[in-house]
Amino acid sequence: MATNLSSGSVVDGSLSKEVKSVIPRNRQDVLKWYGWGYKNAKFSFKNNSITFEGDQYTLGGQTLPHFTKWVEDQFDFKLSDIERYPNIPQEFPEPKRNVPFLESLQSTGILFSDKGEDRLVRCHGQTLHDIYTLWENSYERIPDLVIWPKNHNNVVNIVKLANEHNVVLIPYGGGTSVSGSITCPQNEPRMIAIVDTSQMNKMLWLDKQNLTVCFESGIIGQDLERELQKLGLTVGHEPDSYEFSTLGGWVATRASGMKKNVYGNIEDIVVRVKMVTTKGVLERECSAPRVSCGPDLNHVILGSEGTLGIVTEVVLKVRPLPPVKRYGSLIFPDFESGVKFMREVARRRCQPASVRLMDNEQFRFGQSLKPVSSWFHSAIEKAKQAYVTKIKGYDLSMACAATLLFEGEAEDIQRQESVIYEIAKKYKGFPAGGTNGERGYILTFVIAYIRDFALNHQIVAESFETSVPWDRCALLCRNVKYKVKSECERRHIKNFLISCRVTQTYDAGCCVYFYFAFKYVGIKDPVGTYEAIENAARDEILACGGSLSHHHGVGKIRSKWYPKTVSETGVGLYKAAKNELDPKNIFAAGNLIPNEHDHHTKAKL
Amino acid sequence: MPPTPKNYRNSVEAELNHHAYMSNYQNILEQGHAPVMTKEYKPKLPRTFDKYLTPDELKTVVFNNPRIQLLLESMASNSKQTRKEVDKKAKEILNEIGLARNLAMIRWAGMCITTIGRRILSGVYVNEANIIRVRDKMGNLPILYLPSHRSYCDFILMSYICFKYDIEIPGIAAGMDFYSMVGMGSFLRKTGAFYMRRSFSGDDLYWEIFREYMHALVIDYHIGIEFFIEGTRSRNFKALVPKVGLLSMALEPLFMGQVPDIMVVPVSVSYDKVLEEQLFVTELLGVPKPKESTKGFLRALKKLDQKFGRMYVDFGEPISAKNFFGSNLDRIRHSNVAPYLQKLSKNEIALIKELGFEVVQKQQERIVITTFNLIAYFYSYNVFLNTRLSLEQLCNGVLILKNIFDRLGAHVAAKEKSINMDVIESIEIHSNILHFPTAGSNLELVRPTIQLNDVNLKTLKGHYLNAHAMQLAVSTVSLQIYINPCMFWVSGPALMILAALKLSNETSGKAFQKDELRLRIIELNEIFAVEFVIIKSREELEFIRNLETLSQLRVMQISDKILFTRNETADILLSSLVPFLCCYFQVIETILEKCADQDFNEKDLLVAVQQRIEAALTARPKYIHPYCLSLDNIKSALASFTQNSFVQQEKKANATKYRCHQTKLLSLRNNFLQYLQLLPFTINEYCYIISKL
Repeated sequence: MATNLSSGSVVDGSLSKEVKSVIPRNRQDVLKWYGWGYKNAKFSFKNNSITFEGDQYTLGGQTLPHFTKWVEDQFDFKLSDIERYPNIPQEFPEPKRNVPFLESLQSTGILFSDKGEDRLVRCHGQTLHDIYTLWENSYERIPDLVIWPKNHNNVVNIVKLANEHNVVLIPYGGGTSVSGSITCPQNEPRMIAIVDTSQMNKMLWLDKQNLTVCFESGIIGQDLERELQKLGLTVGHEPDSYEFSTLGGWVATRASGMKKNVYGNIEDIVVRVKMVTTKGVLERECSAPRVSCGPDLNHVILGSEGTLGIVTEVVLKVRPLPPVKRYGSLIFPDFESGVKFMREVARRRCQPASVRLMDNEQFRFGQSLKPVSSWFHSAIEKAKQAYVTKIKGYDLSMACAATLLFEGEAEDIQRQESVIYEIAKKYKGFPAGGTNGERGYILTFVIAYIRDFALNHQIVAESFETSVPWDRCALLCRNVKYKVKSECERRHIKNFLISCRVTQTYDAGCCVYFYFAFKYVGIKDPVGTYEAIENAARDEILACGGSLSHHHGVGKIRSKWYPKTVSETGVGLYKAAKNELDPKNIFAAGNLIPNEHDHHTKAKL
Repeated sequence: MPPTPKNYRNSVEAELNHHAYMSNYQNILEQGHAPVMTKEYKPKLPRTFDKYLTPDELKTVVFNNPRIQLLLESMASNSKQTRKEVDKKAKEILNEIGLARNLAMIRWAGMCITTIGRRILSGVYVNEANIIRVRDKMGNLPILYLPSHRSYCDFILMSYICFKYDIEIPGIAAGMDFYSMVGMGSFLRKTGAFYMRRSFSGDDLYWEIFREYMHALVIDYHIGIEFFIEGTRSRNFKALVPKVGLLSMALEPLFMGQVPDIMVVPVSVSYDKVLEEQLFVTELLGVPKPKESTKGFLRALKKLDQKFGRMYVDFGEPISAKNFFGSNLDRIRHSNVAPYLQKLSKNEIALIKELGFEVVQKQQERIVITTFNLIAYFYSYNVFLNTRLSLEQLCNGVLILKNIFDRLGAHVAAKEKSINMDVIESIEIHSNILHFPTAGSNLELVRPTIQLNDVNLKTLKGHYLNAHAMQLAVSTVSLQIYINPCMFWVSGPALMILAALKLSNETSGKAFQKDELRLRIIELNEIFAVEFVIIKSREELEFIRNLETLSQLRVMQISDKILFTRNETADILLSSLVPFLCCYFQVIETILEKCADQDFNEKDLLVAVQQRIEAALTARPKYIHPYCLSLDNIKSALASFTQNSFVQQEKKANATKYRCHQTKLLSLRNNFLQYLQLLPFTINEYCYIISKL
């Protein structure tokens, strides 16, 4: 039986709080259907300069002449004001209809839709492949139905009916996946229903004594933080997608947040999690802080990527809002000194809330995103540059920067700062002020919009990430850059950019993020080309001791390496779990391991 | 082992045990036994803590409770009130609820009770062995004292007795009626009361605070808690269906794992006569209860030159709530989320309800059947037979009844040796109801002198009865409320006899199957579940027990089939049902005649039934008993019909509407009629006989 309702919820429903989300149920009213983020927020080229539009961000409305120059220099072309953004299609693939399922679903009163637009805007994540296919309007298989459960019990009902009628379910939260995990398996013959969790976003309870909170899984990051911060609390989980991504998605993909040093990654923040499977509800029945009770089954749910069930409710740790928040930045003469600094910080375990190291390309790119400034400001900037080059004797084409974010009590921050600056000094780093640091963090949320702008100007821009032991960090960065460069050259791609940064530090290693962009004028299959290069880079990463993913997840696009990373025995264990929880493969998104069922039916067809 | 009905099956053993049992009672008003109110009071505490909260600290605990803080926070942000204002409001509520304690006040009150008690009572009898057993078990668990509720004297008495036996005086949930009495409110608070509004609806803050106060008393406080599970004083002296509200508040901490167990002590308080007797009678007939006031209290004190006989108090075997719930209690279920964020499930509330029924059952088992209960019963039975009673016949009758009640397992106060004295003393105390007009004459019902001049017609709960009906009603209801305590013991066997009578009639006196009898009884139990507090889960147990008792009383012969033999015992038992059968029948008739195809509300029905009875009383009415005028009776008939879907209930915003299911109700009417026709009594003549007396 899929229901566990007999025991019922013990929670007093009258204490739950409805949260008004920034994003409406009809998400395309506010969000771009063809790209990243808010409809009104984008980079555009007007009057010979790039401007960023979007009143949600501090950069909104600013003209960016340095950035314009940087782009034109980097990719060796003149920007034009032509916009090639697609129009939303008027015709959609005909939905498959499992009539008995639809009839039963109707009788539950749960909201659903088979409108083409509703299905199209939820048929994809945010990989280059996803977006390019959207722009080309070349999806063959999009979901056949979108269902909006309102609570855990709704989900229990939906899963029960889907299992009865053999309908595929794909859980959908914020649609920010960059692993292909929510993209429909293109050969699935059964009806595919998207379970959009956006309407289950209540704060079910808050327990200030234990500093825990229970949210429904569909709450998006910014709503969650806003509601908690009103109460003087924070979860502190800030993945770069947190404006749009959901709690359930974080759990299902093992998300990581910028401030994990203080608040932890999602697995450190989650206390309990409820997942509805076709066999019933999986949940650890205990809120105690740490238990020794066999393998932690929370970890079956964390990272399950929608293949085992639907996450419905999550209990998280909350923290009091820090009284002081301060930014800082450091400049190092070269990347390797920076890495040594990061390693030392990790060794001393004195990380502030966030510390990130950018390589020289990103350092300069970041500088270029400074808006037009007054005469006075630019004079100061000139002076600063002079200080770096003339007095410190740094070569600006080698220098790199670290950004710092401190959170906590004033005296604790002061102590942290002095330790950090002392370590930096050891590696020839010197403080470059809070403003530079702050800009780095503000840009975090804006950078994601560059991808769509670039695509409009026929530049592919993507990122990929990994985690790596300390001893191989610098080496991995160097080798991957070399690999990408040589792959580009082999394909006669002249204008490209490959850059990296170290975004997280751990005791035993760090997380490295790569940005890769190239101009695809004259290239027939830009997406295929990009994927081939990323694959080559991934092979190199794995060879250098890096992981398949630090926080994006495996999804479909990295599933071919999954057996290698977890061993065949590991795959067997995962399959056994899958077979136990979902024998009919209702959760057939096909992530982690290639969808056998899909291949099987493909053969039959 | 506590004496349970089972122990009493053998009559010899019963007699012995009974003597042992009654000899445990000590009159604590007797010289040398009364509590010394000036003694050093070092009571046994129900719980021991490292640090004990003061009553004010207890209020702070409640105020700081996260749930209350959460509520105050949201009130402040969702209304125009500032946080300071809502905090103030919460503190006011806490001050209204919160108990206080003043030992001097307790000592002074105790002295008054001894003095007044000695003047108007012939004794306060306490089962010493049982109260000491409870005291010995105390020390590490929250304790709930749940006394039966027949009089306001209940809680005064409880505190007095606790003082006497060196048990910490519990916190007593008292109605707001007392709160508003000048001086009385704070006096009772200082002697242990905490206050509870009757209606919580519409005031979330009050409800939440009261609930958390109750939780804090259970979890953090060291004294016991006393409240009345029947919710109100039973005006008709029958047990009431237990109210689950306060009990579930008190038990929530057990479910939430905040206390390891809770000790529930049913307490049975019985009276020869309660101070409120005549108020209850008029209330039952629709004259609303006067508002409690200090003036009224003082006026009541003036009445205190009357004699009220004895009071009996017995502490039952403590029930471990945890053991009672057994494996149905799933505390792990509640262990994952903070207690204040949770609520109980329907199943859990149902469990608590079962415990409530158990408590009422245990209270009833130890309520002493007084001599006057038996006198009233026997007198009424003889009216049905149209026979008069001399003192000697009455004493014999009381002994016959005592024998039956002993066998049923009741504790009967009358002693065979002193039966004449007991009967005369009882009639003396109740000379407003029954009397021997002259020496050597027969027992007669007293014609009451009624003054209802100052009754406000607008506040009447039912119909304004004429003087004749009122007079008849007052005397009959006064009599009936003294028969009612017996109903706990006799209703089961009597319903079985009623069913057997009908079966036997249908088979022309031949034996019938046990299962047939069982089916009939299940049907009757459903109808009378509210009236006689019958719980489904005990049905089979009671069936077996009653069958066995009736076979001992030679009413039933059990072989593979059952043969019913009518005898005097059967008639005596059966007679107890007459007022109820008549009332239910009359309510059905009224609904069918007046409201067959229209919505009606409760008051409509009360008025209609009373009007109908009043009109019928002047003729020689069929199947009418003046007790039909009692509003409680009509209300429980309506509740029963609703529960069994003979009548549909529709709750609207401020009124509850009813509509009858005509065909169903018609068949019920015919059923009742058949039962009434089979009764071997001259019911048709009852009112006539009564009014001629």
